Amino acid sequence: MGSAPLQSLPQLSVPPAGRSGARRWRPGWRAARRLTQVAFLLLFLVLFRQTDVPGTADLTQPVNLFFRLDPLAGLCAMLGGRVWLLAFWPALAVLVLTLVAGRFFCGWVCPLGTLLDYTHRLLRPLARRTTLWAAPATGPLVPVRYVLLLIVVLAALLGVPLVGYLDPFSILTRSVTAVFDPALSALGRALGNYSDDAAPGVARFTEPLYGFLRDHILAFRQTTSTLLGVTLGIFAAVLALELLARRFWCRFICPLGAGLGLLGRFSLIRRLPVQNCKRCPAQEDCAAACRMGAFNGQGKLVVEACNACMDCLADCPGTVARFKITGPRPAPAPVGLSRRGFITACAAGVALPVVARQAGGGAPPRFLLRPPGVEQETDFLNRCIRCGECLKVCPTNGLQPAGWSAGLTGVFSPTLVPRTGYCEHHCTLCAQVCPTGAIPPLPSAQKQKAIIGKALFDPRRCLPWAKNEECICCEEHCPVPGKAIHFDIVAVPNAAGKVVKIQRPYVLLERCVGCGICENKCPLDGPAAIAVRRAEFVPPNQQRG
Amino acid sequence: MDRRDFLRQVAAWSLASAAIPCIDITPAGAAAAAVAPPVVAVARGKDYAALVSQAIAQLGGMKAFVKPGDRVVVKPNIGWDRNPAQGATSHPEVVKAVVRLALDAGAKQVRVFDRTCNDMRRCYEASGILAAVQSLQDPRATCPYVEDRHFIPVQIKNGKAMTQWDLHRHALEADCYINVPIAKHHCLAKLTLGLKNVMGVCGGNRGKIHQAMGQNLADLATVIRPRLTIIDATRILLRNGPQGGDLKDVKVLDTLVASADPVAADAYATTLFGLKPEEVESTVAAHRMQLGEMDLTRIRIVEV
Repeated sequence: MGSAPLQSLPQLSVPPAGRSGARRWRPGWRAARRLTQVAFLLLFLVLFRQTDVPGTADLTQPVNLFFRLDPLAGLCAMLGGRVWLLAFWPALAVLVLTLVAGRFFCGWVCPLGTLLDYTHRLLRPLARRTTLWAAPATGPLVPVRYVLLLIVVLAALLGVPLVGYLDPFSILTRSVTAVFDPALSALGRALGNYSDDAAPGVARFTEPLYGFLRDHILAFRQTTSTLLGVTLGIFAAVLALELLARRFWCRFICPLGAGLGLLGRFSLIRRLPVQNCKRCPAQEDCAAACRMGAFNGQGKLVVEACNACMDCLADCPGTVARFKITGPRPAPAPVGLSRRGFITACAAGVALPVVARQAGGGAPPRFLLRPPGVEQETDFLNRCIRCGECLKVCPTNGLQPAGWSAGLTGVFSPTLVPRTGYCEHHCTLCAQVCPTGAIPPLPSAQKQKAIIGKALFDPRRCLPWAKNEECICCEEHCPVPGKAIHFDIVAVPNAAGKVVKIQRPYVLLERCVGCGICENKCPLDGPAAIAVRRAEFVPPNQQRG
Repeated sequence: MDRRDFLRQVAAWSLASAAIPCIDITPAGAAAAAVAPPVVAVARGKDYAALVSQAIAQLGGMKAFVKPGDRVVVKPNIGWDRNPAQGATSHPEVVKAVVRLALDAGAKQVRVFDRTCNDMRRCYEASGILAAVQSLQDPRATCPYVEDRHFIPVQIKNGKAMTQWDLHRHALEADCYINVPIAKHHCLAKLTLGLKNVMGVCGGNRGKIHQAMGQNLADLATVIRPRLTIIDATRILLRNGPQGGDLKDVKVLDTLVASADPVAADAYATTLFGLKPEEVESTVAAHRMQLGEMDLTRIRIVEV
């Protein structure tokens, strides 16, 4: 294979005998790529499952590894937060490897890319490919990913966090957290419920099966998520694009892929020959078969589009197609982004923040609670890449993706919804998994003092206030030293007209940290009679809430 | 599974399915209390495992409660993400000793669990109880996490304030249910002792038990009937219970209270706080329902 010439018009060395069109079986590289894809997808899922409570200890596995491999997320978080984030050193390794092997990351590592490849197999019978993408490497949509990349990076620099909406890992992790994991969990639990009531003869088989699922596959508890439909919609759209063209997302939209491709132009190893063969004995058309549409209209390989999937290598009837170290030679072809396009993208990147500020401006609403330790809303949003890791790890399911209430650029950022789940007193997991430090990594003792908000009673609903009934669940659960909920003992007539002594609770605001366990455990149906709001919405001289 | 087991399971299952949606549990032996004065064993000392054996020995030994082949539930308080020194959860050494005695008495299976208030995994670990059970290295003894599917609606026939609640199936089905609460302060119930510890096998919105709590707990005590109550007062929480957290609120007593009479055990344990049994509503309500004795003069207290 090394004997093949390097000329631009290669001669074909066809395997001597065999059936007509028989290919020389070259299992090595394509099989290796597929195995690698499976391995990284499994790694993603294993790390996802391990993004959970490890008892009372700290997490030891690098559960947020995929985000730390992501140079775009790292760059945008650093630009947005104006900090160096050393946690992203693995992304540096990805950049170096991209200089060696081009955009291999998209073809070999990215779990979303792998899912798209599988989706393609599923959707193939339905695909209606139009000519619009026939020559994608030069097609009209090619500039889009560069425009998006420019906008995302410039916007980050100017203080508008957009990367989380287009980063492949953010989209994937959020979707699995909000949609697929809870769905799987519900299915599994349905089996568990069935097994619990099943006749002994049946339970004998279902119980071990459910036990295995419960202990190894299913989430520890059933979770729910806000923005479920939006999250699923985005994910489904990314997959559905496979109907238009293979790897549509990677070719035309993914800004991470765009960035890696730009760097891949300087890679050492690349696919040869650069020109698609004119006459192929097996009538293979590498250009037409290429999942990335990496050949332009003239049949020339566009290096930044190739994700090194090795298909053309494996399908080549001879020994023509190969990946070889050629030394750094910047590809001569333009990236497909015209000067006009470039300027438009820059203008958009600059203009967007202005628009976004105008549209989403103003203080955050009073019930928008942030994870513990977050102090400054803008800084937080600029560093948050909407990756969903904190939403996944939160042991009480209290962290939820924010909707429009967080402003135009705050969608999917984490917010504590105490009625769903409170902030666990000793837990610091959200900060441990946050790849960008948007949730500051505080020691547990310090985190327990971090003010998330302040709880205030609603005396119109609270049982001891509104109905003269005893209750006091909120006080029972309050975890702060000396308790932030106290009560007065009052003698009041109860529903039967008898005078009884009951405890009427109030909040000692200077002690309250806003963990929300009181709101969570309030036994009323519907909204709680005590609710945590942002501290700035509590009048400064108010001591009782 | 042998044939007898199979038949027993089929019978149990058929009964259960016939009772769906509600399982009816008739209080058994409610009248037995009046015959002889109930015994409350009180053991004091630093070796908590020894306290357990000594106290139970005064009640006739574990074999009086656990028969060979029994399915045993040991129900400690694991409610909070607190360590043993903070006095919010039952002491792991006490729990471990109880489980060991049950195993030695020939239990087929010993389950240790509690529906916690904080994250279950944190509570099981922080309390030291999960590790304590695992350290016995006996496959019959497990400390499983509580699952929603195991809560089944139960009719409380003799209930005065409660008519129905979701209760944990394993607690109901156990041949021997051993209650191992910790004695501590509770602002609403005044103290949380044995009767209050039943909350850990209750499903649903437990906050709704807090209105008329004393009577509710007594009602629940007609359905969940421990054969043995072992109140862990090795250290008690004097203030800011039931969650605690501050070592200043903890008082080390090195005391264990055990009785087959759940009300008598609570009544005696109340005195450890300098309170009278009448001051804890659930004790009064349960006594009124003839679930046990609260008059200390009618209880035989055996100190070890």
